[in-house]
Amino acid sequence: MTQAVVLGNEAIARGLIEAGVQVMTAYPGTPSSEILPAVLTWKRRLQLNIHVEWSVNEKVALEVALGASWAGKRAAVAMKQVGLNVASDALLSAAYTGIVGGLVLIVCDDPGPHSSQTEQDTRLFALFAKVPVLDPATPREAKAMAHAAFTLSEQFRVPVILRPTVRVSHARQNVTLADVAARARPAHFKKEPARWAATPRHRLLLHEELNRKLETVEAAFESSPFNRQSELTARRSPLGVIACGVPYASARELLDEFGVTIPVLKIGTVYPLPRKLASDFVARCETVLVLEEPDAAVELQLPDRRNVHGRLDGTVPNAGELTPEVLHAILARLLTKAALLAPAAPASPWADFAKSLALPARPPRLCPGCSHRSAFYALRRIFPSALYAGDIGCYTLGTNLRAVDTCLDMGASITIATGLYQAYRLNDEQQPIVASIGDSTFLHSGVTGLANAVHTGARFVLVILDNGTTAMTGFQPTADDTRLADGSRGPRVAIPKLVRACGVRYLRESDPYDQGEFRAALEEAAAFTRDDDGGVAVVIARRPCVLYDRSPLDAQPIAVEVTDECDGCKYCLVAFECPSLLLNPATDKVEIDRATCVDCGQCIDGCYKGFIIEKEFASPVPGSLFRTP
Amino acid sequence: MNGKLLLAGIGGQGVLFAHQLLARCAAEQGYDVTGAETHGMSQRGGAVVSHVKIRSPSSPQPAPSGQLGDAPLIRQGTADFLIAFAETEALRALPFLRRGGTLVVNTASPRFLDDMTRAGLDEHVTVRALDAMAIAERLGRRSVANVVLLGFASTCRAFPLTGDALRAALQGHGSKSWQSNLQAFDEGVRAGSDPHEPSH
Repeated sequence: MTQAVVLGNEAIARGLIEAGVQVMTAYPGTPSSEILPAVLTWKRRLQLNIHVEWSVNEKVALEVALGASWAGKRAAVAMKQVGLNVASDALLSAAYTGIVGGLVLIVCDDPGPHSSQTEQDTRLFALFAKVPVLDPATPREAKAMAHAAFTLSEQFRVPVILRPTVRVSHARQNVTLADVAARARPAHFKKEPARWAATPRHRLLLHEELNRKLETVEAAFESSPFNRQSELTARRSPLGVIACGVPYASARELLDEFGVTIPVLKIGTVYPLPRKLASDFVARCETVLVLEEPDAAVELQLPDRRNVHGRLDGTVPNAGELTPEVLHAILARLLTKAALLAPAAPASPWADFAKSLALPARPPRLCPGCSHRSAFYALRRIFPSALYAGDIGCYTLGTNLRAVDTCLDMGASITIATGLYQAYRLNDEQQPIVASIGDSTFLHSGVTGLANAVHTGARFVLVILDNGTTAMTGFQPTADDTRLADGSRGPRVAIPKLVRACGVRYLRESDPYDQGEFRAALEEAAAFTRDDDGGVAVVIARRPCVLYDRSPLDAQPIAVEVTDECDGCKYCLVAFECPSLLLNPATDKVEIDRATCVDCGQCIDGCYKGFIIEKEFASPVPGSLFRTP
Repeated sequence: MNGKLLLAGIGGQGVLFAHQLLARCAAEQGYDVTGAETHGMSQRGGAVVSHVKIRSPSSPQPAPSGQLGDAPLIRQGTADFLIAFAETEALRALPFLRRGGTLVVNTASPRFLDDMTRAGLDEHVTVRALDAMAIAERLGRRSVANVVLLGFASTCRAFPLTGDALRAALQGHGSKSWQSNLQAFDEGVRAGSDPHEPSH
């Protein structure tokens, strides 16, 4: 047994490894992306026989893991919370069929939200799907729960969800590494049509079976080590706290800081809630405060909420993260009211001062040299009045260049564009519409939308921003790559072929760094959408992500300089929006930030007055000198 | 010694590396360590904050949550140290610093200290500023400015980890460039120890 300092997601991976996971699938998404790579690391280091794959989306990932579970293997699947929306069809059905080998879903929630489109609570999804869910407070507990989830899953033959929040997934803590279980299970799928291929009549029986399973799970949770109560006294306490996950850890710390001793019930097994344990606790307190994230899953399950405060009565805010500051305010208020604490001092002596500085926000931006910027810049020039349907990925930041007007969910650029087209068509209006989507997102959920758009006669320009990787979440390979998750090779599923197979009749592949050719392709595409015989026109903007593969840039660097003629009009700062272009307030001229500039030369096009030029003879590659700006 | 350290910077400045180094070092010293990192969208040039809580075995947590470790987040007004890799981020993260805490800041502007004095902050916190980027540039690697600043921070009174312990953690980090990191760290230590070094 050794100690290691690991990320929460790595701790979870280690828990899965120690429990003997043999199939690990995932689709990347913050804050879940580090789980699968950590499984890979230990697979390699310990030479374990594990199948690891980045699946094309979360539904696929869950179904692959489920299939392996039905053949007897311990399988795990990781995703972010909105990924479970995509995988929900499989989950709700799998709750009925049950599993054979343990099946654990790790679904990471994002209260805040920091990197997501919703603050949805996966624990409520578990309630809806009738699947047990565990809620860890720290990486250490997450690791223990990952292991226990397999035992639980096999004991009751149900899928189990482990639900860390971002503050567990991206916490870093020292954990104990234990021994790794042997992997010697045979692959054996036992045919049982009434279960694995159940018709509605059998589905009713499976539903009743699931209900019975949940009763036994709840009974087992009454004595689970993941639930614990402290400071219970014989007398009824004026205030007690029921807390889960990170809010438990933070509240615990605050109570210690206040020096207040009140009863606390920590719930780690959120669904099915051990109702006897919870009800007994509630009965022993005059009032109870429930602290959980991001919504109210425990509070909703409490049989008697008459003396309970939480999200449902507005004591706890209904949106946003329960930071230590928010918890401090809630606890201080209730403790003061219960005469357990003198009114507290303000949280920070400098908060008002820092606020008074009105520091400019530091919003995320596309990186210097990002090929998406070049593509968006060209789009804005060719389609000044287009409606821009965007998608989920780095390129959502095209909002900064005003080339993204909508962002809904994975793949929605294409379908929203379809809906916009149909709306304007009904009024016989020719409104230019442009959809943009990344390579990984296109493979995730774009293909079905494209087939639908073509088939139903929609007309818009679709730009597939193909930078060769899933950049936002840490450069995971896509299916349009011969690299697999574990570094081995597999057949490439080529995006251009998929586009053709969807029935698209206009397709061009173009490098957005070549603004002339790229804009010409866009103009042609626009013409095709207006043709009598036209339809959806697709332009694939192909250029590797600069963070992922700098080799094309290094082979042909184009250093630039701003001429003295720069009149400080700020056009480039707004329209091209590169972090390496800075306005010097003293001279009122734009300067190149040499510290961050990657010599892509793309901003030459970003100044229509021609004041950004190639630095003469700065390039070691003679060829690049002859490149026309 | 227990310590709550808040690291603040901009995506790409090596805040995560600094966090990992401190956490690893603390664990090697037999401490319990829990912290929170910033990943995802904000790494694309956004503000990045890391929380690091170090707890010595001689002052363990109260029993009920002992096995779990500390909560990942530091509450505003309670950090012992704020280590800021950029001036703007020092000011943005200032609410985390406690009265009597220490602000360690990478800044090229000697005016920064004057501004802090004008705001009256220097009466309540210790401010230690260093142009870590200038030192990193002198070493020929701008990317080691984070390590320079950590070396500098380690010379602060009551810093929970010693310079020697951090050097050992740097050597064991497994990074290919540990030698230049070590050099950068030592330069930071020197700047913190030498009253003549232009650390304003």
